[in-house]
Amino acid sequence: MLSRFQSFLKEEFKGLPNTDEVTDFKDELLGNLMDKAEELKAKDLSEDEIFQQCVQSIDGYKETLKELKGKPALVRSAKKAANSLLYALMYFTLVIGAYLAVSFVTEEWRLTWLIIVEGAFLFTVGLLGSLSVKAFAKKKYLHSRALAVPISAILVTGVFLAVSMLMDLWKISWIAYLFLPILIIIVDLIIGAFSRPNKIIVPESIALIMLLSVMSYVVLGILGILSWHPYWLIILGGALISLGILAFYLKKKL
Amino acid sequence: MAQSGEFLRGHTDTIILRLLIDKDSYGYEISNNITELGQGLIEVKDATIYTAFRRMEKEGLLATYWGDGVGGARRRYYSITEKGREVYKAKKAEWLQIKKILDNLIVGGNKNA
Repeated sequence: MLSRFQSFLKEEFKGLPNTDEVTDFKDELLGNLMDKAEELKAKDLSEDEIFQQCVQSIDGYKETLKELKGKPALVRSAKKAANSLLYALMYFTLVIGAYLAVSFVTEEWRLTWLIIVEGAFLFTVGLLGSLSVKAFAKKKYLHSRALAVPISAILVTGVFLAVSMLMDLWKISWIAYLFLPILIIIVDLIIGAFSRPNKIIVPESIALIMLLSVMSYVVLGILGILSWHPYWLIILGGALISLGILAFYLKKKL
Repeated sequence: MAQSGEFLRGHTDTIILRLLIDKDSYGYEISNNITELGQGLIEVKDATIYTAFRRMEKEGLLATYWGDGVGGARRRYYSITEKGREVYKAKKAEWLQIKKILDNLIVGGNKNA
């Protein structure tokens, strides 16, 4: 029934501007149609009868559709875009101002260009982060989780560049990228916990534990903090913990 | 005998605000509540409710958020704002005053009907 209503609404909304207001209205109508269908199921009607009664019940929305068709969405979008551009310009003016100020004071021109790069990274992370939060608020959890990947990648790249340039640790700082999959999984787990509050996210938790144990072993080994043997036991420990979690979850399910 | 159009004209907003003071709700549920509380004699079209929602949201009387609906669809919930509560209070006082005057005019003061 959901897909049938979705196809119906797709036809009804043809020609309308692709704005938030229109999308929200369409989603609201879909919710109303599904609620009505749920109520009619109890009346022992056929699927076709339920569908017909439901679409007839929203006949009155056609006036609102006409109103939305006539709205100057382009003008509203242009105003929104102009505001966003203004904020972006203000932000980059501040970043360039900071770069010039620090450069003139410290005279470290070969390092201070990093301020502009990190500023650009922060801007991108902020933009993607706000899109992710917006998607989360609209319960589009897959979009929200997908955006976590580029956000994590940009954050790690920012850390890598800062550590490499400021501490001259180019030979080691690449290790930051080893933590990228861990960061992605942690962010995904957090979003998942909010989107599915009553469900334990077992596969992601196991992946995180295994990745953490392997990364810890590799990083601590590369840095010379722990020897390769017998500290491979860290990975074995991670595997045992993962098996424990899986066994506990399966026992709970059965 | 659904003479709903005449009875409700001008009062749909107040009725919606009153229902939302009790708890947050969504369009379909509000429509059903009005029909139930109106004892089947009053019916409000979904389109009227939706138009009222949009108007009141623009005026800052309502806030909205999304929740899970039936069968994978989303549901748009409405909640009343502080401004909405103040407007409801004022409209309710207005209604009680009008009701008193109409009672006097139609039923007639202390006289029996």
